[in-house]
Amino acid sequence: MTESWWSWLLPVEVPLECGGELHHLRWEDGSLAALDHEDPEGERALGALGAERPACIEILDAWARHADDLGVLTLSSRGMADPVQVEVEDQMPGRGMNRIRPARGVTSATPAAARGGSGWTAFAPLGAHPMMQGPSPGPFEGITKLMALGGAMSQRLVATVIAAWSDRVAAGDEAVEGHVPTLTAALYGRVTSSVRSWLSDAALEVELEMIPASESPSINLEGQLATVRLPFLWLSEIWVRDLSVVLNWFVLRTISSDQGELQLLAISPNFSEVRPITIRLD
Amino acid sequence: MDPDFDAELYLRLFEERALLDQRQWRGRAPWDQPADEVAAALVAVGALDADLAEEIVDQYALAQGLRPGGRQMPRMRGFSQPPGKQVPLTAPRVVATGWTLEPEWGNVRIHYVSLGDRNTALAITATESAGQSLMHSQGPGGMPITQPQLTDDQGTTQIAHFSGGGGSGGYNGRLVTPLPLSKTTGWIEVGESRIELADVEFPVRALVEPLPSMDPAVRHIWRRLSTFHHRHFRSGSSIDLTLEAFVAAGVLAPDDPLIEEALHVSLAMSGNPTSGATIPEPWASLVAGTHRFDGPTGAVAISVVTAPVDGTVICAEGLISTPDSFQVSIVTSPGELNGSHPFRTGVKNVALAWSAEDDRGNHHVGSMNGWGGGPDLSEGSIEFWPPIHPQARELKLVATATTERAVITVPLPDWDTEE
Repeated sequence: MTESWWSWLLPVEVPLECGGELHHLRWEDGSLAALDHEDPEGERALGALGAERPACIEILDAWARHADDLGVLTLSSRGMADPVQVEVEDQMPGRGMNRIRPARGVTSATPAAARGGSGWTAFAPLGAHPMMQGPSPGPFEGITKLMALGGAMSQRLVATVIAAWSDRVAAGDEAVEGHVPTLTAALYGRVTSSVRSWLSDAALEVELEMIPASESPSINLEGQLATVRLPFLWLSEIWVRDLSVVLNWFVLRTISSDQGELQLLAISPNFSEVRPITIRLD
Repeated sequence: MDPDFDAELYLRLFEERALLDQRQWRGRAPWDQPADEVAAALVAVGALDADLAEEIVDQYALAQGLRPGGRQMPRMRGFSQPPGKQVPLTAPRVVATGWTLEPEWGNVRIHYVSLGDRNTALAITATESAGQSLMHSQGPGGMPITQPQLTDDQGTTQIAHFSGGGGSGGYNGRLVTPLPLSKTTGWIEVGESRIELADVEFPVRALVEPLPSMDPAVRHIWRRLSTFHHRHFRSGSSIDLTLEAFVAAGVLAPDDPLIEEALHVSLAMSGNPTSGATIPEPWASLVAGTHRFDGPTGAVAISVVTAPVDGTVICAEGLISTPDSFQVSIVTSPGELNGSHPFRTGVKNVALAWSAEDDRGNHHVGSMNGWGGGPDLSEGSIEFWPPIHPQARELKLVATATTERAVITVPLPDWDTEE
């Protein structure tokens, strides 16, 4: 059985002011759900008839719109060394979103490793809702609105986008062809940030070749230049799980992942050894 | 061009490095926009679609803005304006006056009067006899002195409003009426002072011609070097990025002598020593004129409308010469969208690049100095430097667009007798 992309990603829950009350959004098993809204579909229908759309529903819809939006990867953090601060005030001028303000305290819930999931259960993509209305979003507005939910939830959105495109790359989807520069840049920024952190060298130059997943990944250092060959899949398998560096070894790929046990292929900091590292949840 | 060169990837990786590495900004002036520089270079040689380049630059500009200490300035763009349409422009009647009024609070030099179809404007320099006296003075009827009443010989009266700027050294700008006075009036009264309008024929010529054939990369390099954000700030500090992009794209060889020449010019234009390197014209005369303050004082009526220059019609109203520079009042239609932002390079080379050359071989460059308007019509002034050479008797003002340029030939007066 193929492992789900959200394996090893903990659930995330954020409070949100919605209709004057404190509601909660929860991401788990690849899906975002509005915990305080039993019938999002019904509320969308009411919104189409002129009722005010609840903030939680707006977030669900924005998430669906941007679930494969590569702009998310452009705007979001490249890693620990690249903090991103998004406030509501960062929304584009004239498009006030004051109701959408994450309350303090982003929480991670219980581990969900290897839990089965059914994907997008709490809501469906925008295209499935012809009655859905509202102002036409600006090109970046929806993304920054989602990023304002906080770091952990923002990371889950990034993971979602990366997973969508990893699948397309793996499937040879023709949509990939027109987005290779964007995908390469997304990989480059995150690899560079990870390698620099790993080698504690913020000035290190990095050259990246984005390779097919079938080829062997590698990394070499010559002077101040690190030459890296990694597939886009590295983001999905390694980076989003915060596994880029384990025990000060740089992780190149996943060898296996099953039942709470991860076997990774990693390279030592002096570049002399490439060995498997096994992580197991007991 | 290198067939394997991926311009979009080059720009995106440049942006990624800029995002991760604040060193990209060090040593650069705050108005320099490195990504704009790279994107504009790639667009100029046809390596990258302009709309895609702008989309990438805008998105990364937002990404920069979301980082702590990120530059917010780039986000000033991102709101696309509808393309402007060309509206008919007619040349105003322009009379250079040389009049000086001497109200109680100081004096007002009226360089010229422009009588147009849309309004009447007086180009002035106001000097206070005491600090703040201008702004606190009142004219006849208690009106602010900055809003004088103008009357023509037909009895038409309009209140003019000042637009311009200045400080303790005086105020430069225009007094503009909301509606026009008579174009044929023989005089204008400014408050209680009457200015006689005696037309003097100055045969100004304007022609539009195609740009000489030139390699797009070479043309872009020289255009970038002559695009000045502000007279006092100079330009050229990011030209290295343009050159790197051209080498990467394979449109310039790494050892092309043009690279060294452009870098020398950039250094010289930024006010830095160039280790004795010879700077070619027109740059040599620009650098040589940096410290000249011998420009004549006076004004010249221009009053000319050009044919469309790559779709933009230019109306040049008048020229004001001062010891350190000269200004030309301009109206364009459509308005210059990209050129309306003084601190953005822009990805597309849509703004007019201004330069001038006199009959003695001296060169000048121009930059925007006050600009306003909308998509259809914009107006403002172009400030040129170095100043006009005292012995120059003819000046060619050149507005360069993408494929064409307008050349406005202005006979210069004998300044000694003018003043």
